[in-house]
Amino acid sequence: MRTRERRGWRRVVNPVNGGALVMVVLTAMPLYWLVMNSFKPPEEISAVPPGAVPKAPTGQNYGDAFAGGFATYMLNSVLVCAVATVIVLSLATFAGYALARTPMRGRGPVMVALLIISVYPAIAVLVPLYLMQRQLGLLNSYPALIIPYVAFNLPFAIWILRNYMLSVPRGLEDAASIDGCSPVRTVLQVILPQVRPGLFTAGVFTFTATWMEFLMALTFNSQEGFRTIPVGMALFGTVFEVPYGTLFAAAVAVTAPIAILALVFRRSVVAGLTAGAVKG
Amino acid sequence: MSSTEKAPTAAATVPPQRGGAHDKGRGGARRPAFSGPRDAMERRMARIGWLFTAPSLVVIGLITIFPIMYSLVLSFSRVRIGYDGFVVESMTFDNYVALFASQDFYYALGFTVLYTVITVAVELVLGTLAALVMERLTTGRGWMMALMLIPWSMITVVSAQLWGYIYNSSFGVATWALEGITGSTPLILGEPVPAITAMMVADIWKTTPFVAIIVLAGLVMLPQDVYEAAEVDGANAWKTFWQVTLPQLRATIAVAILFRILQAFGLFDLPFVLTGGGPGTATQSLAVMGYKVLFQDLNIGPGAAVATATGLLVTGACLLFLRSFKAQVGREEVS
Amino acid sequence: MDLSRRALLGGGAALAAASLAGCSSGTGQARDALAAEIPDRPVTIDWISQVLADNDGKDLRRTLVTAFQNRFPTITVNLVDVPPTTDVRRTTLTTQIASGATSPDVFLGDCTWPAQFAYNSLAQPLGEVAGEKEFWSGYPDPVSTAVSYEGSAYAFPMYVDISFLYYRKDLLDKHGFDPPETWEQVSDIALKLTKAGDVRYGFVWQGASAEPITCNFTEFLADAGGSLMNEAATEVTVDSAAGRRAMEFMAGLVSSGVSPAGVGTFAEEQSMTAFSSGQAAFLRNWSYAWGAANGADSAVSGKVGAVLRPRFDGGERRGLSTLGGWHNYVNPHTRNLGASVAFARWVAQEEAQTIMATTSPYTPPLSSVLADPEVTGQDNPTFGLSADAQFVVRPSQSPRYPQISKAVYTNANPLVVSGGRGDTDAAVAEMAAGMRTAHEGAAL
Repeated sequence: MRTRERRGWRRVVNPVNGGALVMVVLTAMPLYWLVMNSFKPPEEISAVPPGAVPKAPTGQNYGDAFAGGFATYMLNSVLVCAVATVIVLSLATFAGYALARTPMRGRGPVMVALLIISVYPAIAVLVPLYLMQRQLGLLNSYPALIIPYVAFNLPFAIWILRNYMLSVPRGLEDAASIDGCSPVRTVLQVILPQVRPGLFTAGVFTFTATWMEFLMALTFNSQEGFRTIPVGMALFGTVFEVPYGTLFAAAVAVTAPIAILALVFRRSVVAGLTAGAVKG
Repeated sequence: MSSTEKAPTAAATVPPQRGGAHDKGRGGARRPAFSGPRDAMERRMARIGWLFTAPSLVVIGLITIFPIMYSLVLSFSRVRIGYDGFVVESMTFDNYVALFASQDFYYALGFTVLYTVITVAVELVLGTLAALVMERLTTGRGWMMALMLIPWSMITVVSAQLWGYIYNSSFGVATWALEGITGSTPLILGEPVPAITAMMVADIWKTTPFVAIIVLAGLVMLPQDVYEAAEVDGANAWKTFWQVTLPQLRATIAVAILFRILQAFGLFDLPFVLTGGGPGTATQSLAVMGYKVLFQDLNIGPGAAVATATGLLVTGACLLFLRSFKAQVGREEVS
Repeated sequence: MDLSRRALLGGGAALAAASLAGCSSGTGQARDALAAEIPDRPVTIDWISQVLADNDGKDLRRTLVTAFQNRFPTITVNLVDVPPTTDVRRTTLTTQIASGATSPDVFLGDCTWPAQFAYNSLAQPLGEVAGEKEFWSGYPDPVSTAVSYEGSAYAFPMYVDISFLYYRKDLLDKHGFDPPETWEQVSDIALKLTKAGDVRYGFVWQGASAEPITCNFTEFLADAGGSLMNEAATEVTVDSAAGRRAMEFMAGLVSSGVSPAGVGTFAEEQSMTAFSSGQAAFLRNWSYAWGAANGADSAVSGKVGAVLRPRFDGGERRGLSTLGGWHNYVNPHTRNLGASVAFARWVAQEEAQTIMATTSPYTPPLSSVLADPEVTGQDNPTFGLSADAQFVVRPSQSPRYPQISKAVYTNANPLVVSGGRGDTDAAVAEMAAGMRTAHEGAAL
């Protein structure tokens, strides 16, 4: 293998470990700062020079965050993103199957169109969508975000699932079809179990994309009760000060669950994220 | 869609022709119709294909294609907000006249492109270096990956607020540190060049780890025999990297870059929260500009022109890149 | 393919029809705001406003709401906070109100918004100014002009911002100078004080490429006897001898070293920091600067004087100030029109204005309150001076004011940033051309 044998102190002190240390420090420092400041009282947060650790650690910020509407934002986000992800996956499963397996005409143009839409900037459709939703009375509601989130994340999910489905052996389907399975049952019972990693990947991407989405959420649901986490966090603060302590407590509270999930599922997440990248 | 996170995977899933190739072989789709059980089967499957695709296409069509067209119409209109919606007063070319006369637009376009090219380049170099380090790491690689997933999984708005605090002009830790080094108090977000640099740092921090993970996966997947051959030839690590590793990763990387650049036309969250596009218009991306023209100035027609122009640029670039996607992928298949 | 094409077209047509249907009607606005009744049953209205700190550091909004609720027991006012910056505040308000949302009922907005909000149906018309003589005669004309659009009022005044020239009293005394009366004196004193090493900068003001430099330029322009546009904001008048003089003077401040080129990046906050850290001899800023300069964390606390802005040597008018301020607008979609109007109107009237003037640093627009000896006699000299200020109104009468202002600041700012070098006449000509294009609605 390529790693040369290192002996004695060189096993610990070497360019590789040094590089790794630099990477860890650079990545972790802002995160450390976020966590530390979420436990600082206001006067320590604006202290100069800044203290490396809180002198009088307090959980007050966390209480303030949840008392100040953050719980609502969190609920809104979870609801919108979960529903959007479920809808995206169910629609994309069938579309992906059709594009991978059926001899339907016009697959090429459809795939190209999907590709373009998946990178199409949200700003370009913001106003018409706002207007359409305004006419339908949907603004400042959950569907106001779920509907566009589904539409904008479907193309990419279809792509991923289609590529996974291409690698499912044909024989399975043929057997199912000889057994007299309907196409819907074939997809649900034969194909779906084979592309579970694909579903996982598409799900992770859809959920993260919707979880972070800001522009549409800011425009369609700016009313307090329907703000998602990014909107709530962006509009936080008053003229005179941004209450960073509360903001960071909220930030830790939303990042920690994701970080823990990433930690627990790191193998499948990394595998999922990279699968397409490498296999093509 | 602001983020950078789905780029590399998206990139690699691009080739439409490759996957389609083998089923096209058996497809009777283009053959003249003649009766027979097999052909009936084909037709039935094709119909099912459209039935399965229809719901998705309807949703996508209504929510994306229709608005894209509608935006085009608005960009040729004089519009104001009425009590019950928008009021289209008349059709006009003025919006585009205004757009092309606007220095802000050219600046925003230039800024968006330049910002993207620089951040992507830096992220790629650092990410590749990080991946090479991680590949050689004997212990703790899993933990390191988990740590590196955190910036990626962080909401962009949240990381923007965090960096805003770090750069704060009176009590930011970066301000304090720079003051210690240079002796004078810097206004990090108050002047154009420092503000742009600061924004790039925030972006690079968030995206590099993810690039590293993707490249690492590419490295691990590379065939070992090539390396063994190189080692027999006595090539050092550096040479191996340049002559063996990099060429093999080139296809993946190239497609990833193209995708990332396309997505960056939507750059919004970071500048909106960190600088609001300022100071002046120094960090104003196309999307921030569009949003401000639309909802701050309530200049709906010209705003729609900004939005439509952005959309057209992306579509154009996409179609242009489609060739290189194919070319890149083709080469990958040959090698 | 057929199926999806039909579906696409069908759905698209339905949506297009829905969109167009919205374009024709505008009936909702016909409601007469002033005739709306205050309900007998209890109602709650949402008031969006930034935090307004009073002299004790408490929230003025709560004091006002409590007093209002005593007066109108059936109405509860619910305070809603706003995002930190004026721009983001405006976009959240516009997206929210344009969506047809019934909340907020009342919102505190900038004094340059009325035309823009009225033109886009984002503010409820609050009666004709001419038809309500008794009410509006209590305010200076520029204030009632600024809140109205095509004859109707769109906001009830809450507080005004007036600009002053703040100076370092201790340094002027030290060198035996009287407070300056002309800009030429300001320049002389500023240069002497910087040469003597007492301060780093002579005169700081706001030249950032945004609304601040528009305000500053408008004032110098008025000092020179000119204006950006005519009173009705229908014609651009900046390309005049006065316009060129004002621009030349502004650029000259920087090229002569009276002001640092850095003012080209200064908004209110940065200029305030430069002054209160003791780095500058003179500061042009709004009313709030008195409190900020004399605050606990200011290095110049107790060493500051304030005068109305000077005139040019030989100029006729002094004490000119851009009219700034924040006023209460009513959401046209409110379900509680009567209660909302009652609240917004009450804040503009004597009881609320007196509370505000006596307990907080905000300047009341209501003339009778501002003339009240109890108000003028306070520690804060800006109250006493305010009554003599002469307002300069920005052309916010045009619904395209944001674009017009953009033409002003994008042409004025480069001269400042470049250290005052550049063709000032050409800049004024470009500015005028840009303003005309903007006024015609053909600018971004």
